[in-house]
Amino acid sequence: MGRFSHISDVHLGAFNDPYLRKRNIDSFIWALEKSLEENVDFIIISGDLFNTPIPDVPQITNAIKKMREIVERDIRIYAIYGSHDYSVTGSSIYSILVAAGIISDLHRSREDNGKIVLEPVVDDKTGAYIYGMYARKGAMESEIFEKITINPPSDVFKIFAFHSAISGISKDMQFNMPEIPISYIPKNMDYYAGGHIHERIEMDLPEYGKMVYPGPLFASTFVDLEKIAKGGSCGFYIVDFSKGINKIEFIENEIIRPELVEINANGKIPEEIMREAISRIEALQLDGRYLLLKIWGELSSGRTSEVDRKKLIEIVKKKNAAGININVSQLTSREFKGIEITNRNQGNIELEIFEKFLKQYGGKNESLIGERGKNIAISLLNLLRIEKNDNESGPDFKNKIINATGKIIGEEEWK
Amino acid sequence: MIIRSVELKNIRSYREGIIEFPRGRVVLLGDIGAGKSTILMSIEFALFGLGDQDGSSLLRVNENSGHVILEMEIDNRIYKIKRALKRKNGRVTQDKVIIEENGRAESFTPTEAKAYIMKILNYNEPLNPRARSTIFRYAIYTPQEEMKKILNANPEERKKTIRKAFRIEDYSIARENSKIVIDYLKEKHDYYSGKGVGIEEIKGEIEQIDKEIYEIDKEIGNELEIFNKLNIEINELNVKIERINEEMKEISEKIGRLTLRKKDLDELNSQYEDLNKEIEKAEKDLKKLYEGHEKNLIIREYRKDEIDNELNEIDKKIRELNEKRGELKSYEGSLREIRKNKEELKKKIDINYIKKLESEVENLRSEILKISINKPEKSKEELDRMEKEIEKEIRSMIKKSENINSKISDYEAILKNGICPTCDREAKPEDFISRLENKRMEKLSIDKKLEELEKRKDEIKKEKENISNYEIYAAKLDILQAKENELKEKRQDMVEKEEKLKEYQGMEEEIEEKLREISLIENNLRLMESKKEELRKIRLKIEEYEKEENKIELMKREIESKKKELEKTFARIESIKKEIMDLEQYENMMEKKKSEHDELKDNKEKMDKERERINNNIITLNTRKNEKIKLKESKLNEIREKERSLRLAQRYMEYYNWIIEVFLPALESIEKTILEMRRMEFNESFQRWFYMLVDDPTKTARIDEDFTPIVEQDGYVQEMEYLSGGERSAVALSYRLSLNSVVREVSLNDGENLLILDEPTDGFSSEQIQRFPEILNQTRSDQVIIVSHEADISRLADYTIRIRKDNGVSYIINSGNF
Repeated sequence: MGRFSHISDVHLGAFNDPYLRKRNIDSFIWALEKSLEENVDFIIISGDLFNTPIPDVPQITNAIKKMREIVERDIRIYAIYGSHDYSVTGSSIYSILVAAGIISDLHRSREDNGKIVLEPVVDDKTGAYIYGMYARKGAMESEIFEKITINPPSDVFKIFAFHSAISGISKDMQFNMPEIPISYIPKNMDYYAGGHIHERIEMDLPEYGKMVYPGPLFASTFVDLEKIAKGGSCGFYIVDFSKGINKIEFIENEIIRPELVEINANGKIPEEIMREAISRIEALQLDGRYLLLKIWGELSSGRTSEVDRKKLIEIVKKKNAAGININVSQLTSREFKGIEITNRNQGNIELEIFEKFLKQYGGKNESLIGERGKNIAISLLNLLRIEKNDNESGPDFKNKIINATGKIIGEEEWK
Repeated sequence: MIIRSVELKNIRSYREGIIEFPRGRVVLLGDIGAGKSTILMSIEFALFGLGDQDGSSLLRVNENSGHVILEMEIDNRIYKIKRALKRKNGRVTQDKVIIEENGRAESFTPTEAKAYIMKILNYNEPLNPRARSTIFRYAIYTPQEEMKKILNANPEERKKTIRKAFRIEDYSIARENSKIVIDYLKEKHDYYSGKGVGIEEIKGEIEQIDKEIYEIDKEIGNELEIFNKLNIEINELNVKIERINEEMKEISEKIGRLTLRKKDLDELNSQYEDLNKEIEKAEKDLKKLYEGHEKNLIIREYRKDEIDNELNEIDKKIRELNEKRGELKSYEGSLREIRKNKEELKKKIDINYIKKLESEVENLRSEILKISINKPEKSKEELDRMEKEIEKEIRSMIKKSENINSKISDYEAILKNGICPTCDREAKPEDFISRLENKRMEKLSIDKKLEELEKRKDEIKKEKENISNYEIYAAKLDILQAKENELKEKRQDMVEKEEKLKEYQGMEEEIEEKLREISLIENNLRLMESKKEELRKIRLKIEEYEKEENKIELMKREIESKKKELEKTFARIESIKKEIMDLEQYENMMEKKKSEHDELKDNKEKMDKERERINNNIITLNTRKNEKIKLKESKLNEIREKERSLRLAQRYMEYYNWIIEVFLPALESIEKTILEMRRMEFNESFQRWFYMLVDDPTKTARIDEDFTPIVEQDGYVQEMEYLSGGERSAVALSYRLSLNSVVREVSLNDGENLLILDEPTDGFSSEQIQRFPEILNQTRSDQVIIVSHEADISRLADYTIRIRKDNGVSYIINSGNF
């Protein structure tokens, strides 16, 4: 009989927003404490424990303390490198934790006739055989996957931990991430402890076994947060096993339940958006909650920057919300969309626009339309764009402009 | 622009210092406050002066003067700029600026210098004495503080700065200046439309004038009718007068003819008398001529053509003789030539010189016989070499001898004292007796050898003297040889000349013979000439006789014709007498016609007076009419002038409307478009740099409409305060580089190769610092000057200049050895 926690995609250090970053770390601490409470024999982390190879250490100190506490209580933490933990330079916090004995890295292998034979880590408490395959950025690990082979004994409980997207498994391809074919995955395991896909997946695969992706423990991206806001869940698994799996249970993380407000800006002006946003925020019960405000569409006029983020943040803060983050990346303005830049030459742009306005002009005077009109416009612009010199008197400057204007419009010839 | 060196004297924390800048990445490394930024400030000061900066912030405290010398390279030309500061009465001001271009220096005032440098740098921006260069500030060097100011400014202020840097201000300046044009057009419109007022009133006045002209025309018509009638009557009278005049003219012509005829008759009568007398005289002269002519009959025996033939024959002979004589005369010239040549040749034969040569040769021969020396066996060089070798040997022998001498004296001392003088130890004298003997023997042999060598040396010396004597002997032999040759040549030459003389003598005699023939010919010629003269005289006489005969014939014919004329004159006298009788009746008719003519003329004068009166009336009326027409014309001109004013007013209005409806809205649109285009360029550049510096696919960055940098994660805006240090630095550096590149594009057409970065990596992670060289490569700058306090940066640089501050004074360390 044995029991373990399967945690994945913790992404410690993710988020710039201190509130979210802290909630993420809190979630990890919560998961470790929960595992302790549930008397697990060991914990598997299927990659991406950290968001970057070297995160800001003070921020994750508490999380590491908690890991050491767990290990000191004789609960092993098994893990593999996820794509975010790994650094080509070799320097990563993950490698330090392995060296410090806080994490037991699962990847053991040897080469044999061009094949890579994975060796198990045998859990001394439960006798479970745990195999691990690390990940690289951009699924660079797939080349190794192709060559791996495993020769496990048949009468033990076998776990294969990995951090890769398997083709056809995920419904939500948010990152359009590279995948590896299922044929690369070793068959006949009892439990496949997956990571990398930010989506909870639990399925029985013929010839393989129980395939489980817990999804992120908390969230590492705003897309994750939006999913939670839309009713999705995050958390980790606790698995009971003997010869095979006895029970698997998803433990939901309820540390955060963000609120998502979406505003369609199509055909509206910034002031309308502000009014709508404020009234919708006012209507919400935001005590201690985190707000995701997503404004998208095309403004009929004005600048997108006129949607005053600072003001909205102020309002949300006054309602004792835990925080707010605003998405205006899909917000555009017709006023600027209307500016067609076909030409990147300043002089040509001037000509083109004068041409456009001259075509619309109803005047009949031939000097003021067509090529002659354009020439006058350009000459006038070149005359008038020059500022008064400091050593030039106002009347002198005025006379200079008037005389030159007279020449441009050909005043002498009228008389 | 490439900076080559900066020299500081009493600038802020520097007492003095020179920094040489190579191309490539140069890092100015030093602790915060060490004086790195002062170098950048000095570069900017050297280029553009103080601007709005207070001079006392640059000049070192307690110093009265200081300067910066900047050396830079632009398009392969080297410029050196020296800007100085001086403190006077507590105020720090700029001194004159010296600019050296490729070694040629010139002085400028600070303002002139700035304008000149802007021109060199090709910076097209307004010359504001209170500011430095916007282009430099944003395209090349943006101080860290300035960068923070831009990033932390509120959107409106930031946009203002950016607009200025991107020259977007141009359009608002143009819009502002358009007000002058609009006001002007409006003013002109108002002026001309004011001038155009009152056309209708003038039209009324013209109508009145037209009426008056009509009345005058009517009066003129009436007067003209009377005038025309009078004209007809006067014309009829004129016709009558004319007719009488014609008749009177005819009569007076007849009277005139009568007078003429009377005169003719008188003349004819006297002619008749004269002719009679002339005939008489001619007949007398003829008779006299005949008498003389009869005497010369004898001359008729000669014939003129025969004489002519004979004369031709003689002329031919004379010509032939003359030719012959001319031919012979030409020999006279040849004779003169030959005689001259002969004389010259005689002069050239110089026997004295030959004699002198002969005696010289004789003397030399006897001199040489006296010397007679054999040719030496060895050359001088060989002997020199041998002499040197012997001298070398002598030197070595002397040295050996000296050595042996010292040994001998040593051994003698041992024999005397029993102590070695070299090592001061005791020595047994008996051991040295044989040694001393040996050494003495050795010395004898060397001395003998030396003697031999000296002897040999003397021999060589003699041989060398022999060589120089022989050289004199050989030289004399050479001279003798030359003289003998010359003598031989001269003798040969004399023989040739004497032969030539003989030849000339023969030629001279031959010509003299020919010249004697000439006198014979000349006698012959004289004979011919006298015969010719005789024949000519006879011929003249024949001609004279023939002339007289002709004259007699002529006189006869003349007398005959005069007699015929006499008859004709008589007949004409008779006819004129008859005509005179007919013409005498017209003298009475003339009186009658005269009284008739006077009566008609009186009548006509009366009528003329009447016509003149009416005519004057008409002229007065026409004058009045013309005045009215002129008045009307001036009124019409007034109308035309007013119409023109109205047209001009309309023109100005059209231009005014065009500015309001086309020009200004277009400017607004251009401004928006250009701003958006620049923002797009800025954004593209910003995103590119940010992507290079931040390795997180969920994080993106962009520039919004207000040029605010925005970092987003999954589309959610990440507030600046929450960004990590590395991310914030990435934003700052990306923004700065984008600003630099867009301003370069806008103002310098991308033509700049210098970039100055002030603490660009402040807050970077070590991984970001690793990426920094790639970023620098992408800036495509030949020279990047980086100011940093981070020692890591110098690993990425081509060259590092360290700045240190001790006791308030900055020092430049390891500059120049690149």
